[in-house]
Amino acid sequence: MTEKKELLVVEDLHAAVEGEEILRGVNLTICESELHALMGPNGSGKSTLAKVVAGHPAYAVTQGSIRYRGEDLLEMEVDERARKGLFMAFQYPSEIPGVTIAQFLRHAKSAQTGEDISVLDFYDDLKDAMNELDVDEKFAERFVNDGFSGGEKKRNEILQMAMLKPDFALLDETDSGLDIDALKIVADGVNTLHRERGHFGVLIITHYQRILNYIQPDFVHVMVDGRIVRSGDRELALELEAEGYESTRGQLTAAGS
Amino acid sequence: MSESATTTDIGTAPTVRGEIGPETVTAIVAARNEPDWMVARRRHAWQVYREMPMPTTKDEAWRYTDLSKIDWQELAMREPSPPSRVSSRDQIPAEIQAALHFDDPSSAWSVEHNSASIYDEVEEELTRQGVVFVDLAEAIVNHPELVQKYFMTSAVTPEFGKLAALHGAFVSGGRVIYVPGGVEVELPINTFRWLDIERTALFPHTLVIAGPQSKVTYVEECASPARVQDGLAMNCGVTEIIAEEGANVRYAIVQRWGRHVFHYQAVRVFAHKDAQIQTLLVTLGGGVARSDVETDLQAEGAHSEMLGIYLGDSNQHFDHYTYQLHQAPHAGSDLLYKGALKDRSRAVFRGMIRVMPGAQGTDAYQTNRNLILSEDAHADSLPNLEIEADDVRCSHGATIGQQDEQQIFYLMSRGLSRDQAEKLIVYGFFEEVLARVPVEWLHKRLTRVIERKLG
Repeated sequence: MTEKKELLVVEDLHAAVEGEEILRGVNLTICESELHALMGPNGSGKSTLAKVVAGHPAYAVTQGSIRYRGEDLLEMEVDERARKGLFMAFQYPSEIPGVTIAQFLRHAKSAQTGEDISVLDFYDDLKDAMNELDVDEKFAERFVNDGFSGGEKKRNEILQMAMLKPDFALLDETDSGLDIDALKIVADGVNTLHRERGHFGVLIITHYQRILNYIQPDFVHVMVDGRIVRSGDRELALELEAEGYESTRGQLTAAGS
Repeated sequence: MSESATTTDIGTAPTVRGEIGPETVTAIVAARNEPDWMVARRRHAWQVYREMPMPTTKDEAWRYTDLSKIDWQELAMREPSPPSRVSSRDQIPAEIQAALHFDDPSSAWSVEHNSASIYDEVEEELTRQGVVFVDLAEAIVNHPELVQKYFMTSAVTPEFGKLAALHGAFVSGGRVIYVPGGVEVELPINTFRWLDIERTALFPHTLVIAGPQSKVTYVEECASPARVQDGLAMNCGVTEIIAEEGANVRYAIVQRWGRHVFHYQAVRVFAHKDAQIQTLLVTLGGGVARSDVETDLQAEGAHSEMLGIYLGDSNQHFDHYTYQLHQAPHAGSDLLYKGALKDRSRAVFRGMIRVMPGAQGTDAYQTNRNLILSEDAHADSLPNLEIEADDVRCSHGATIGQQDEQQIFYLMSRGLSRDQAEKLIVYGFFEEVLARVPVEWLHKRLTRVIERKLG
């Protein structure tokens, strides 16, 4: 068996927002075609990790490195990361009034491919993607996230992922607040990409193990206080659900003392 | 579309040279051979102009726009030679042909070159229905009853202001549109106005009279060649819209003059019972542009939607003044002006909603939003209400803000460059206004014009 190629390698990552250190030495390696889940209590730094990977300007990396397919990710502009196949599904995506989803996606698709794509091809793809996600066709003519419900915003993120076909996706609590049907659609979106694009890797950040009933993770990590304190397989998620994060916190304290 | 000739070709108006002063008024009167009533109107307007002080920045209405910077001497009316009238589209000078869009579905066109009307065409169906679409000089001769009754008598009188009075004295060019009662003109009527000289002043007049239960859309576009012109030019235009009972009028004026132009435009709507009016002001060109846009809601059930967009760059200066006058109960007005400012450009918006005593059940809204795209750009927004009735629904709001970094980050996270992201956000910002424009080709074309100006 050939060695799997590394997609994302996070080493000793420290990051701060507004001067406060949130990440305190994160180590994480995700290889092609792997599905990882990152769990942990509120405020543990999960979303911060996602934002640093996406390149959010408010987050400052103070130490450590992130390599994406062998390149220094932290040297890349936000848009460059996206053009190199990195996708982040936001927990709270922005609203862009006056710009339709279709327009936005066409711009994004053109930026990604570096050429103007034909309107017909684009709409064919968009229609297919919307059907796949069980979204009404009128959805694409709505302004991006403008007045959307929480569930619609999440669906829009997954629709974008389906259209942009990234190599690596980060889902930042995409499952929270979704009913079971919406959750299945999100999971379908991920599973479809995984099936169609063999090398596609995912990091799902979640509070609950519920979505992991539909997306089978290869690895589960637990983050507490800005560090990954445990890693395991799917069983770990079930264990966490049964026992809560307190036991993990206890282990951390024990390990740290 | 058929290209029928107008009923009487009175030729191009004679050129008058001279500075802005009484001699020039006299010269215009002498050269044009206008009827006495029109001469009297000019002389009266000139009288009003002379008696009215030139507004200064000490006047609240002109606090932000300094007219003393205009060199009136430079504006002497010097037209090298009057452009000649043509009888078909392909005879229109190539530069003008290239700038206008005959393909946009329309029911009538007129083309003006500097002050002269050089071409027009009207669908036969319109003529058959009694629709009048002629230049002002021809209207004075062939439709004196319309001009005498409506020209600067009710919507905009010379007393409206110093520049309106000047306009009344010097008026030349522009169009008269009359739509008889019950006639619905589905496709827009268009005027394309081209200014390619300097050290000159234009005084185009637009008079739209929409009979009871009629319907019409009129689009005026003002443009200049892209080449840089050094000398000053002025456009001093007045638009009067008289909407009779139940009439539906949509009016758009797209201003993209060259930067050498000082642009003044007064637009005033006089709305009778149940009239439905939409005005759209698009301000893109000119060095200094000042517009006074007013709606006078005379009777119950009238409604005026007032839309505006402006996009400034370099050192452009845009000053918009708007007035929503509610004189009757149960009338509505809804204003939305949005502007984006690049470089060192500057914009002023001053809006007033006035609800007179007895105008119960008024619905009046006013919103002005400004997007500042550079550190050196600046906007002022001064919304205002004066309400003298107690059963009204009124609101006003103004915002001046920069682009939202979260929005930019979001778009960039999908691969758009910062520049692309910023442009898309500005485009979306204007779309809120443009989406309300019912003419699809105009919506599309304005989008393209804005995209081009955004660079």
